Amino acid sequence: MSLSQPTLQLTNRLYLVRLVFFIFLLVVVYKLGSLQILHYDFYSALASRQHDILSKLIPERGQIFVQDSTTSGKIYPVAVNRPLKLLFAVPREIQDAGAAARLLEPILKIPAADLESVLSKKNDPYEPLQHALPDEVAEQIQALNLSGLYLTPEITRYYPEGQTFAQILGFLGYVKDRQAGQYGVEQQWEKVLAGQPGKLKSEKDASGNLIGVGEMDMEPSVNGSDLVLTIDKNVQFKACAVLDQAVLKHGAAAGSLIILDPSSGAIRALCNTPSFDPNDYKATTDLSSFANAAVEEAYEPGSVFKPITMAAALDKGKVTPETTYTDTGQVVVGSHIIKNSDNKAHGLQTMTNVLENSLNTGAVFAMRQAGSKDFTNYVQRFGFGQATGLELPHEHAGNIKALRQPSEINFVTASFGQGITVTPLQLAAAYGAIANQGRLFKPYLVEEIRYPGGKVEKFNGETVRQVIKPAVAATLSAMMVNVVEKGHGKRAGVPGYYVAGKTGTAQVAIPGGGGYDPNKTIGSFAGFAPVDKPKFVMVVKIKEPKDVVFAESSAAPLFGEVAKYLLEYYQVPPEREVK
Amino acid sequence: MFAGLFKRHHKMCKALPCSRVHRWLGLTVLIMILITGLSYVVTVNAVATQGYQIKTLQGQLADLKEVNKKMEVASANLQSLKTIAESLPKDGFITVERLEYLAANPAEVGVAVK
Repeated sequence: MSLSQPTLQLTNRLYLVRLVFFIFLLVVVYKLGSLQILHYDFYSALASRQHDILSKLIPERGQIFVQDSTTSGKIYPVAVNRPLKLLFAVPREIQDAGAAARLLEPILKIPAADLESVLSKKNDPYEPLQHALPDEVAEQIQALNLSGLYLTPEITRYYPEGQTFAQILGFLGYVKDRQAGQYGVEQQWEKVLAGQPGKLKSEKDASGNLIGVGEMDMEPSVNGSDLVLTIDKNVQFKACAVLDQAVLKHGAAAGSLIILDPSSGAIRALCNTPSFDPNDYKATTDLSSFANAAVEEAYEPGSVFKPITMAAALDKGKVTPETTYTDTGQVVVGSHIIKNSDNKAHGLQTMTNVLENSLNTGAVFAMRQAGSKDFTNYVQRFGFGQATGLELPHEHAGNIKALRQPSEINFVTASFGQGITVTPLQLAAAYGAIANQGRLFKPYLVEEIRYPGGKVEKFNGETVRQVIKPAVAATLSAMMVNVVEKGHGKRAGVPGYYVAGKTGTAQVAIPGGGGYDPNKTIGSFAGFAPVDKPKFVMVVKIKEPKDVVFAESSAAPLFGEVAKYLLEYYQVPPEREVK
Repeated sequence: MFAGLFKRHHKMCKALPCSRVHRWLGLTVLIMILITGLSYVVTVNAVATQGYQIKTLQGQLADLKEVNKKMEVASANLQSLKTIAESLPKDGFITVERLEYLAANPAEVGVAVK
């Protein structure tokens, strides 16, 4: 049956509509395919910028603690993290840079002109204005209600003890726009303290906030570990205060002091003057005050080295405390004439007298008895000419190269501490060996690492070697007591106690060669007490005192004052009646 | 599976007129779509609400951590010897001038344990 004309027209129109819809469908399918398949990467990236957050997770820096021997087990923070604020500007959002600068000037203490030049950079999306703003200042800025200015939390480092621990800790500064420890423990233990940053990739909502239950790809940060130092905070505080007073009193250029526990090598105090304030290190004008002279500065020690020479001769069995020689006041070595510091001849002297009267000729005698080769060997065995390995940066190894040259004058001068250089730290370790029955310990500063997960890693004293026999150490200690009882070290003594030690007044070499400066000296005193069971070893150094020449008037009294404090602090009862 | 559905549809069409079967099927599918859509919206809304709650709590946690940190710093400051030394004269402390050690017979000295 054929279709009527109207029906045929309707059918054709229906076919046409279907065709149009089909073509439209094809176009839509093609477009979808193009967007989702052909250009997938492009649109995915575009959407990611819009919807995703990729942020770096900043770990919390580990804190540093010290001890207090009067409160067993308790530790005290000396480097902590303090939450402050960072003020930054988005200059393109600031309407009136000049007005904003004038309002900020009295609060930030930055000239308005400088602020205006920063705030008026119209195409700039970010400009930091000031770091480490305290809450009070942040509140003042917030009250101004200026557009384009934002405050964001910022963690800064704070040192509650100020200058007292500066030389040990260093400070947290910036290296190429990244926070990093500078000097001291902060630098040496940077990797342990800094931790590891993490990453977070997640989706954000329209207001830019993280969608808490959205898709998240996270690599958590690992916080830094805390450090517990061997330092006793009371000893450090007292020792540094007394050192500062002594340096000031004598008009000296600088001073250093180290105290360590001879039974383990643990450093209990380490001070240098001048120092700096780690909370405001940018204000430091003298950059040399950042250096830790006790560890980094080697000097010719002078007579404080004589016990080392004597130890060599005693341990080789070549001399005893009663061995005598005739002091004519000088020793001739080739074209050189070596004299005693007082330019006197003392006649028949024992080895004990050599230390008591600090006779250069006696030191030469003892060295010659031991033999130059063995003398050099003992100098090395006491740790000189090599770094101790203390966990602080830039440790100086000293210089004993003169002893490797086959020239007798080098050995002769080295026997009384000239022509070689050592650090106060090396002297402390060496005297620690004498105090510790001849056993040399490696000095150390970090007692514990406390990891974020709760694990604690402890460090104990590490024996380096047996340098001299215990009997020789005891004999030498007794000889050094005579230095304090009858010799040049009387002012280092503490009534009621037997203190062993030695003074040293060294000349200062003229820079660039050409001998020694006649107007400059370095006074040192190294010793330990009580001599039977030493609780501490201490080395003090006063550089270029103006009012006195010899160490018995500068370094010895300083030693005595700190030693008295230490014996009382450690509650050591007197060994004899106080007269 | 689709063969099974087709067979059921064919059986239903035999029992009832096909147009009525189609109407019921369409209505059922529509209701299921509505129910599914509604439960999806409710679930997503609940999840989003929890997300905001978590965000609020995280903000509170961050604030509390900051307050805790500030108190730690204040505590460190108060414990510092620098602060204590400055406050000693005000608090009436004096320097120890002389120490005396008492010589006691250990047999005569008792130590309280509690």
